[in-house]
Amino acid sequence: MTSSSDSVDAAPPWVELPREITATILLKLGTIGMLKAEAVCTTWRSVCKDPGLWRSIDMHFTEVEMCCLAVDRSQGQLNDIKIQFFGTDEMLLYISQRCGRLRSLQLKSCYDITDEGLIEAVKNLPLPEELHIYYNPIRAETIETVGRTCENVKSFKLNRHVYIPYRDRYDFEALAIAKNMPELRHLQICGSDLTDDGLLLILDGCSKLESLYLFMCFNLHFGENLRRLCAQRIKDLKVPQIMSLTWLPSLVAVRLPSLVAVRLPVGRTRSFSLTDDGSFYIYLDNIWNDFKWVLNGILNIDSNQYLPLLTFISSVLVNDSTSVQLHASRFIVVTTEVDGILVVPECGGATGGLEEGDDGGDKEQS
Amino acid sequence: MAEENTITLKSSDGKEFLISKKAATLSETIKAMVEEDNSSSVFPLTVVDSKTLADVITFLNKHVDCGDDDDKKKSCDEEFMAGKDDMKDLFDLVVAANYLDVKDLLDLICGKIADMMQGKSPEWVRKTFNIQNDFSPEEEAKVREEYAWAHEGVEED
Repeated sequence: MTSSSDSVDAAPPWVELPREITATILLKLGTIGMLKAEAVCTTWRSVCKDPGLWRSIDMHFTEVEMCCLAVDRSQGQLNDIKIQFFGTDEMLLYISQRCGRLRSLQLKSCYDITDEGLIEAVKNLPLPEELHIYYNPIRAETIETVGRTCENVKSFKLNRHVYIPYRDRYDFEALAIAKNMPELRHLQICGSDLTDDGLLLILDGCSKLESLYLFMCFNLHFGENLRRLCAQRIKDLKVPQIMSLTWLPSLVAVRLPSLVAVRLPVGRTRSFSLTDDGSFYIYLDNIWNDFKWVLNGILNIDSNQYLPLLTFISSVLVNDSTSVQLHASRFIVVTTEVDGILVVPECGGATGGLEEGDDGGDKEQS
Repeated sequence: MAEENTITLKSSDGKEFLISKKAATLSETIKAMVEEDNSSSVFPLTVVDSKTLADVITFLNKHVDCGDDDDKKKSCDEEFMAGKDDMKDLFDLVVAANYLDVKDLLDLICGKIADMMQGKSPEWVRKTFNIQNDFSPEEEAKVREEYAWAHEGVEED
């Protein structure tokens, strides 16, 4: 342990680097890495005390306490926060009470954050321009309340990986967006009951809309008129051609723990999701491309536990040369109950193929 | 005209390097020097040694060749960083990038250093980066309490 030496080979004095270089390095460690780096020495600890280093927080798979610590460090200067796979209502409230200047809030798979929690938190957040909610199934009523509170929302993303085909109500979300987010420039919706009428409402209500991405909205027919209107109004439009009700029969639902592996028809892209009640859904779609991220997510948890799933996913990668895109974030709720391997036949027909799926066959909707 | 637009950079140990003005002025510091003194063609850089300067010049030339092509830049940067593991070299480069004010290079080196630290224990970081644990016993106790988790889930050193 020598701190200085006259020898030519002396280790470089990292701790003596100008503070701004140290800050640049530590910033690249990310939020969690920076919190850890504080424990190295007093110099680094003092560099990390600068609230300017904590304007952007990005954390996943971690503890609520760590997030609160990072929020404390920002001393109210927090500009954007991205939370994935953890978090509670209390934590969100804590953030909102201390970071009233927040511009961007992204929640991804934060299953313990409720609609009520979100509504309470945004009361303290009048400024957000970006509100991205992935895989937290929030209600249309919540969108309405949030939209009314955050009048400045310019970018709204609402992604679900479970599409639930409602039978008697459509477009509640569309209406909530159309009525309460007049400043919207960018809208992305995935897995919604949106219909053509609903999209017209949105185009009407959000006159400043510039980009529009719609995926997995199986009730959207996107007729000729709508197509033309969008082409005129929207600069950046992404609506997959294949999106239509005809894809619905390919939906398969099976109850766990019966299912861990699925054989896929080559050349088709599918996404998967696991719902809270343990049902397993398969969709045909072409939307998920954060496959690598998901794999990392799974590996981060406990690779032994998910070995069957990983095997399954890699076999898909090998067998299917077209870009198979999976979304499996919900797999993290899979427990070790999953050990047997059941292969569900590919579902090419009008009804979802199902094998030994016990009572899962009629789990199409709830 | 572009052909003639070269200048000479002189390292702290007296070696001279010929470089196009276009590449050299990716460094904000050199750019300011050139703008200030248009008549000179040799610019001494008293704090950058020849080994480091050669590296910096390689980087600048590569970036000029890449133009605005970000993909190309990325693969150039990977090539540039390949095998750069020596702590002394990295230290010299980061100091030079900061002094010469080459943002892309500074970002690249800082990113590499951060990558090395990622997921490691504070002890490992201290050892590798030659940093003394200079917390007082009281502070140390406090830090340990506050960051109990900093020692969890880290890779084996």
